[in-house]
Amino acid sequence: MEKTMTRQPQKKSLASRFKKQIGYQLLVWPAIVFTFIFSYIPMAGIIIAFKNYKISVGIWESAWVGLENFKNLFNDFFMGQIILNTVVISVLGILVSYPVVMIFTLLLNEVTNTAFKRVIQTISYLPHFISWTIMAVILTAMLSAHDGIINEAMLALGIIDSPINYMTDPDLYWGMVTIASVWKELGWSAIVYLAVISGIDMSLYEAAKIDGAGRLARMWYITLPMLKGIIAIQLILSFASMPSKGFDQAYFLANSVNMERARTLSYYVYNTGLVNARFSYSTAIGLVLSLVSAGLLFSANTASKKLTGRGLY
Amino acid sequence: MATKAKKSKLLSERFTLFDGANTLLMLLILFITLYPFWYCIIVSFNDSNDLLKGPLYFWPRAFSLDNYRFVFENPSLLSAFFVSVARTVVGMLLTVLFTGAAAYGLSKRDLIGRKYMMTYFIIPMYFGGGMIPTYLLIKGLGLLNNFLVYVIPSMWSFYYAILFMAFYDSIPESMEESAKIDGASVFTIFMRLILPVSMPIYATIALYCCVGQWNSWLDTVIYTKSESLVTLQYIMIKLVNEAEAQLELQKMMADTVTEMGVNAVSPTTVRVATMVVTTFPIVVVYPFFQKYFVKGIMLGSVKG
Repeated sequence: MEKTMTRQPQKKSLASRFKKQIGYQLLVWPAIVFTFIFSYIPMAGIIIAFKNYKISVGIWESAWVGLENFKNLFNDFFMGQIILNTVVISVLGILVSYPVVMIFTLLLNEVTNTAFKRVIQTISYLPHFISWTIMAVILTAMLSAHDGIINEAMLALGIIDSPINYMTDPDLYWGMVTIASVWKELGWSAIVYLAVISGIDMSLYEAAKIDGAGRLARMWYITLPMLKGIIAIQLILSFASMPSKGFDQAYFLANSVNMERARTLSYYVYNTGLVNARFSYSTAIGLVLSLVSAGLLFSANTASKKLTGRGLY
Repeated sequence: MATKAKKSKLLSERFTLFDGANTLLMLLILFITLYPFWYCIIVSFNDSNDLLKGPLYFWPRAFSLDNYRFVFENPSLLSAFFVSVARTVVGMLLTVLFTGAAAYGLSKRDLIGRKYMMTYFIIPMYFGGGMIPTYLLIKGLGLLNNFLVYVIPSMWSFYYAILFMAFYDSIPESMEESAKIDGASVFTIFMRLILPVSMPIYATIALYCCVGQWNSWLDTVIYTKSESLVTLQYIMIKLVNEAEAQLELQKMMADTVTEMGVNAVSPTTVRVATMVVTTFPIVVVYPFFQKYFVKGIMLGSVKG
């Protein structure tokens, strides 16, 4: 008796509450349907990774092959090098970009003239807004062996004796891609850190100054520790996005000579699937990529929670 | 007031050696950021045969408009420009209105099922079907070789929705309450009340969308074959990829033909000139809107 007494008004209120908020519900539901079509239906499409999908036959009629596509993955001649490329390109990217971005952020924060500071910030974001297509044009123009400025300048300075053919030297590909990426994202990556710095209580700095801490000491002992949390979050995201790294770069900067070093997993998914039309195999690689990515996100998050006490969720 | 003055005095320093070195370093960073753009601009305005004598440093050696003449004579450039503009404008409007409106509903804390909806929206951010299943879906929907493929799949973005919701949260509840008492529908409230006060976030997201659409190229490569759907970015891609073949050719020609100056343009100069044309719109609008870009990412970083 008591139960129904308490439950009934609630039930009634749920229906009436829904009626009351029907307008808001109607705003959200199109997005729910949209997400179902464009995100969840492709997830169901992953079943072709377990089939031998042929366009002419269709998804349902194509024969089941179980885990054969995944077994092929281990026998794939290119796979070892591709995984190595992906790991090297993303790890190199993290190892180089984080220290550079941190130093840039800390030093930019020390610029005392606000107008000058704003100019640097504004200009440093600019490369973030250009596509890798444009990046490829800039790189090929500047690094060209016969009319590129980089070779010319290095020759003039006596750093090298003969022009380097950056675009067709496989050994230089990883370095070139890493430096280009750092150049492109330096200013943009700094924004999040600067936002956190602007929220730090100024009295901390004042107290430190009274205690005799110089500027470098204040940067090292106040600013940097305050950024620990946000750095952890950014690192988690960087690790999680590792499997998808290197696609644009490979698409625009790879050629027959440096392809061996350029081909990353995401590029291979594209190439096997849409260029060579091996739909099932490509989907199988894609699925492994997604799972590895989710796994990396989870483990990076756990590690971060243990080490810094902060995580994404 | 007095304490404030004291505070700033306490932290202010003399212009030290550190400041001097730091200023120099920052100027160096400015140079490194801007020089590649400048280099492309001067190359695009330089005579291509002259370029073979050696690279340029800071100024065109033999000023020429031939590269641009060549680029603008390309009949597909005009059509590509219109497709790029169309996808940017239409795509931006669809995303901003669709995502902005849905995010408004979702921003209501007492929305029934909100917790489940959030989970439902978050999952695709971390796990997806991948390239081939998405391709098959687009094909199944009849969006292959269709202008709509540029603007429909990007209409909803949960990432943008989070930014919208963070902004809506800051709008005082009382504003809507009074309108509700007057009997206005949710749709009316949204259009007449919420939209006007939310212009800063709409501007921010609109700009993100515009840059994204303008720079987008993979969908053109994957989903379209038709000549009439070619975008500026796609023209760039063709120039970049064909360059490899052309480079071989040029190498063979370099020793013999170049001194005679037969060609007014070269693959390098044409590519760079096209790149300048493609990037120009972004660089022009950039200084006016950059504060919105930053506002958006700050909002995201604080909330996320």
